Amino acid sequence: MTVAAAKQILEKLQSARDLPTVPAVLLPLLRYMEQPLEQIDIHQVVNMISRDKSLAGRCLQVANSPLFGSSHEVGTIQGSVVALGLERIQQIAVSCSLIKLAPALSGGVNPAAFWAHSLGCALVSREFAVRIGYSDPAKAYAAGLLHDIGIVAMLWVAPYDFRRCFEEASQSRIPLHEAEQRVLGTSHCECGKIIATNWHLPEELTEVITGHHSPATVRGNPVLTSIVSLSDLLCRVGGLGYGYPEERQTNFAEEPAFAILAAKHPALRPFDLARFTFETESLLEEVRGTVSQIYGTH
Amino acid sequence: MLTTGTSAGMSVPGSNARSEPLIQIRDLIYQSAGIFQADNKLQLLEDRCGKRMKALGVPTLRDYYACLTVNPMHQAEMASLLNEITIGETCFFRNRPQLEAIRNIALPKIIEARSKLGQTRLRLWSAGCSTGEEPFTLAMILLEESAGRLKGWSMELLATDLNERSIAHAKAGCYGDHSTRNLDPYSRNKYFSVRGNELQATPELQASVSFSRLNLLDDSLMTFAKDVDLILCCNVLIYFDLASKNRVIRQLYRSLLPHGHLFLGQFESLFGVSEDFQLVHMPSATAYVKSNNGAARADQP
Repeated sequence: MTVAAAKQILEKLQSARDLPTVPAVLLPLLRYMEQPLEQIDIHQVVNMISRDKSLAGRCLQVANSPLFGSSHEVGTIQGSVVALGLERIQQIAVSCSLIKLAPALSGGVNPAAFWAHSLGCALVSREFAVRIGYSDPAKAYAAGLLHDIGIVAMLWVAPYDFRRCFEEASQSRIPLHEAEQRVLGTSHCECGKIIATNWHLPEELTEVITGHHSPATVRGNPVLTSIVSLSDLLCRVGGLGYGYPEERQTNFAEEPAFAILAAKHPALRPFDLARFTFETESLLEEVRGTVSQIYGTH
Repeated sequence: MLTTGTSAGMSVPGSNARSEPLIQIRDLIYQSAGIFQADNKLQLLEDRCGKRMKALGVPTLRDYYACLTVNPMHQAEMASLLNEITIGETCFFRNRPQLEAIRNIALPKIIEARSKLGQTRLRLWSAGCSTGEEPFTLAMILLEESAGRLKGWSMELLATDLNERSIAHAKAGCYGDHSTRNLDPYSRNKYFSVRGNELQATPELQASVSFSRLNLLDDSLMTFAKDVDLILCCNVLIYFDLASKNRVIRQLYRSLLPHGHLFLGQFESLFGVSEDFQLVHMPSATAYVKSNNGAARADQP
């Protein structure tokens, strides 16, 4: 039965008819983020964000929040580029454009929780990347932000099935992807792969979306996937998951992602994970604050 | 040894709200005591430094940082600051996520491990129990479980502290508002009776904890705590220097059974102190377990 359910969901996604429309600014922004900063036309980015009034409003809220911590209040997108830099504004805008993808998630997942988890994972991934000396923290940010996009895809084509998964996960207090496998025989990773391919997302991001729960299977950039995999886990144990605690004991040193990273980044061997965890908890508290502010006012 | 990247925590460029000396003091406390003040606790840290600065007549944080580093009395001042940081924290059910982790994750693992050995007993230790709120909280959790998962089990709860007066207070079992502020009505009614303005622990609760005075650095006394399933040692190690910390941690390691868990204070870390223990994560809580759950290093001297 689960095989049939999985097949039906994946076929539905592949048929592309029912896929969510990608927010207008998301793909161009992701493309810009792939380019060297000096090649980007700043005005074009500012105009693109400013044209969408609700997006621009949210971006300013995030830019003025403790998360991105502009030292003085900014009132325009242009001003925020001056205060925070283009790279940060692109990260903020991509993050806020994700809200439009999940305007009314059903199936048990609260849209604010989805966005908070995505934003939290983006920030932790970026910081983790910096700490271990990964060359492209901005890419880690984008990958952390989009890693669970498959949940949106699943909800779009099979909200009832997804609700069953979510109920199973929250009742058994297990990770969502395990419940999805148990109930449907597929997971948001497989679904995410279809939607990422359909949107022509960069290959490395597609890998993260597909492989963040199985980093050892990733061939192209396993380091990026592993950074997101551990950051995702840190968010979930730090209380920024999908609204229920996963009742288990996690030893990061025994995670496959940890072994992959440790092989490539020697800085990870004597890594102070305890301190990073405390710092993450504090950051996630800020994420919760910013998210509830944004969801409270829009 | 690597300390984590930037010393300014996870703040981002553009966020200059926190002064550099405060960050330096935060990092100094972490290096010497192993207790971390995250970015959202920096205001609190600043207030506490403020109290010490007032007592010392020191005008700026930069000057106070010097008191904690170059001043001949810097170690004593660090102890005073740590006192200021941990003062008044003790109360029943202080750290809920940690208690949930103990009850819902560590305890089932302990029960499973003991059951495999054909045993129906367990032993917990509150090391540095102060005036008794922590072990009594553990006792309430165990007593609640004794009608369910721990039905028919014998349970031993050791509680030790260096301070004679704290132990006397704990044995008396009488607590004021500050200690009982987190106590839910159910536990309050079941395990306490009202005595004037205070709450008195019931005989059942008192009988479930055995208090004694113990210096964690006294090796001969430390042998009394053997075959322990779980140790709670919150904000105790922060007062020891590195060599003493090493000794205590080694003793705690030996006291624990292979499946044993060590829980420290909410923001306490063993980084740079012990490689015997491995950090594990539970929802909103961390703990330390023996490497490979004890298999590899359990017999190490």
